[in-house]
Amino acid sequence: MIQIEAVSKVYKIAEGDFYALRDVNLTIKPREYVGILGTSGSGKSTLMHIIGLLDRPTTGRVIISGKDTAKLKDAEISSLRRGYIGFVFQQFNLIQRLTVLENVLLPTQYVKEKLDFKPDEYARELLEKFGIPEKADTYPNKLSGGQQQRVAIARALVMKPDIVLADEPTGNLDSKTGEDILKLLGILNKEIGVTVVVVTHDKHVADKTRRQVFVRDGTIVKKY
Amino acid sequence: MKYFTFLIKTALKDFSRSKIRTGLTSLGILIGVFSVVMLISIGLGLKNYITKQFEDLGTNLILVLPGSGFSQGFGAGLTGGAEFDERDLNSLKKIRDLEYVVPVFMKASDIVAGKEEEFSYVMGTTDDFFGLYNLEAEAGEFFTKGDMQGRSKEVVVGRSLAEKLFGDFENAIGRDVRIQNQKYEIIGVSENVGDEQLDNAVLMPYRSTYGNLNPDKTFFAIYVGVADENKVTDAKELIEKTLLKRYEEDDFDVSEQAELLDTINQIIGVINIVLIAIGSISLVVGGIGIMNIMYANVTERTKEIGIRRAIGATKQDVLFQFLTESVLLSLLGGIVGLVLATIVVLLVQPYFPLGLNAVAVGIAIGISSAIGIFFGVFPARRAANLTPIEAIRYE
Repeated sequence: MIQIEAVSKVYKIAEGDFYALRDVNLTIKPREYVGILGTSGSGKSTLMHIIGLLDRPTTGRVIISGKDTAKLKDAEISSLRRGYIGFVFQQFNLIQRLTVLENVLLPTQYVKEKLDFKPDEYARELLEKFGIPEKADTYPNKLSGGQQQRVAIARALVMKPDIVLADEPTGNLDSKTGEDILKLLGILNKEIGVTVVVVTHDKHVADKTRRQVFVRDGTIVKKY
Repeated sequence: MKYFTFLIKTALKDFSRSKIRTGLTSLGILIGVFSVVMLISIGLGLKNYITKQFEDLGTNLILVLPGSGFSQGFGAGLTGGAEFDERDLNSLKKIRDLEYVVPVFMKASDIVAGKEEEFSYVMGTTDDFFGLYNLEAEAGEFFTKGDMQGRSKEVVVGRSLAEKLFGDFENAIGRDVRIQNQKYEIIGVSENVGDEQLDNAVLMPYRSTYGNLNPDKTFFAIYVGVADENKVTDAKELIEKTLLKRYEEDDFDVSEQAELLDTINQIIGVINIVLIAIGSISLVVGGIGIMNIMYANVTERTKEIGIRRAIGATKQDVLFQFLTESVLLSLLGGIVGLVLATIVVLLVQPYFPLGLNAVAVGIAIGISSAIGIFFGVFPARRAANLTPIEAIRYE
């Protein structure tokens, strides 16, 4: 479970303080499928970065699985990010000089202790499940946008995380492929039981989730 | 282990992406390591060569030289001071326990045989000189004690000189050479011992040099052999005492072979350090090249660093990754430089005394790793300290 308590994120700009987030409270329960909806500059991406421990709040607390992340060191935060959270980005963010399989396996390479599953087998299983098993040894630049996003989702899942955070996952895809990716995220939530949080500016995308949170000017204006 | 394999694989993958850049970056270290290893080899070879020459002379040898000799270390001269002559020889021969007293006169001169002419050394000495240097006759025979009294015109030549003058060294026996318009007959050819001077010398009884070659009838040095190795120090004192009756203390120098060797090694050591220090400048330049490329790498791969951090890499993981790359870059240059230096050493060894040992190899590998770490740590720290979100947003 993720708890966001009175979180604010403030940037110093020439005109003074700029609040990207102001006093935000949000709880995301296990197995939820949540959409965070907001226009450009609303603070929705900042909120996702803070939930995903990529950024730290200026004030407030982020509690993940009962742990107050403010007290954790860099190595502990990284470990939590690696084991608990998977990311899917609008730009796919695959490493171009690594093959599909190497990209998917990348998070497992940073695990110093022995894993309780065989990463190579599991990565291939994920690629199989996402319909791109034959692309394992291909480089990302040879793949379509939809295929690259599937690889990114496979990478997000390879450590068997509890939560997948997707930032505008369909933003760089045509509508048909976007629909497929959303369907895939829905299946992950429903069948595997992974909590999925989709950040989007697109109401149509947010409608695919089971609970929506609206962000405007750094605050949550509506929750369903 | 799996983690380090991953770091090395990642680094190699990055190198393969930009082979030319990797090669050029390593080139700096390659040149640096090559020069340092070559300089170590020259120093080592020279030291081994000189040590061998001294060892061949035996440990019971005392050298009597004019001036302050070698014993005052680097910068001391061999000229000036006493001019030894037969009077000194006779005084020294009276000292008990001496095995031999060998005068050595030496002069560079043109050696003419028919139409052939070589500029080389003429040495005037005694028959004991051959035993002192463990020289064997390759053809003919050496002059003997019997030849020491008169001014015999019979000489022995080094094999290299004989080959230069007569083609085949065996052709030299019985032939004449002209030195400063005097004719001498070659009665023997001494084997090559790897000493450029001896292998190209004309050796004759010291009295034969009296005249045009040595009008003052003096000697460049006197070698004294002591019968019992344990009495070398006592003999040295007696020699000094004897010579002090005729000369001032600063006019001559009496050195045991071991002292001389120490002094020469000290001089070689200092020269080596200076040469290696100069060679190391190229290593520093190479290191700066690595640093420059690594900084460029961090900037180019900022987004990748962000991605890696987002999926769980720690600051330390990023630091290790960039450090591994800089160390491998440096090691690559170091190993290739070492291999090239080894090839050159093996090729040159038959002609010039070069040496290579585990210490030189260790130094080369150690220095290149250290350069990789030292010059890689700053860019690597910069990469590690990037915040994930800033890095991932970088375009």
